[in-house]
Amino acid sequence: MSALILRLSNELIVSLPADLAQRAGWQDGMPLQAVVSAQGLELHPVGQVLPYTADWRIRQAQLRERATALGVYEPDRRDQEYWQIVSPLMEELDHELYA
Amino acid sequence: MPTSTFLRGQLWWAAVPYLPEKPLDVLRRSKAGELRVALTFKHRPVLVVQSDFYNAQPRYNYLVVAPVHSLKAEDEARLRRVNYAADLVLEAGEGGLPQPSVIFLNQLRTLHKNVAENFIGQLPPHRIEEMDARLAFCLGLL
Repeated sequence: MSALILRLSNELIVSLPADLAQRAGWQDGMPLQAVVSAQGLELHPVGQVLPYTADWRIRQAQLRERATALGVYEPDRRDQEYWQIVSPLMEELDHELYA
Repeated sequence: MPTSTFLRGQLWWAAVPYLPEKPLDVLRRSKAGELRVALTFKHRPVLVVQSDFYNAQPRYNYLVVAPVHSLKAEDEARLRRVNYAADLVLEAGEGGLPQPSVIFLNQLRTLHKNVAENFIGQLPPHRIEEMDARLAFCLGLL
């Protein structure tokens, strides 16, 4: 485990100590993909078959982005008018069974 | 063995087992010693949300679906304004449905593949993306 100091930049370039990158088998100029998750940030060479968790985190980030754009995280706006429409439909579902 | 093939995002008419009484009322009556119930079938549209991995397996007999309800035009506009996370609201004509519709993605159920009767249509790609994001939210995957 190596302790590094983070330096932020708007350029799409990641700098790492050369010995650390070489230990990972990475070369200078190699394209990387960044996987963001609640646990932190992972870097993987582009084209490499990602471990399942990294693959899922990419998909999860895409879904979260889409859900945000759809307004899924906005405050609950269900009002009386909403329930007047939805309650009879839900009532109908109460009669249905699994097959 | 299932006789049809299914894909995620398809809409089908299905014969869904339906009790004229609510199952919870039947349970109460059954506990009181009365056991006879009348089971009927209701024809309703459903949306296939299950993975194509399972849809394609001929020896796997089940489908995970979400129920589809038709809406009046003014109700469609109201549900769009509310934009509740679990509600996938479709315009008339989308997915082969003649009327505006709402699909409750927090009301998933499992049906036998053989109760799916007739193919209605397929959701367009942008609605499948919407379905994925809303479903992931409903299932606590985000």
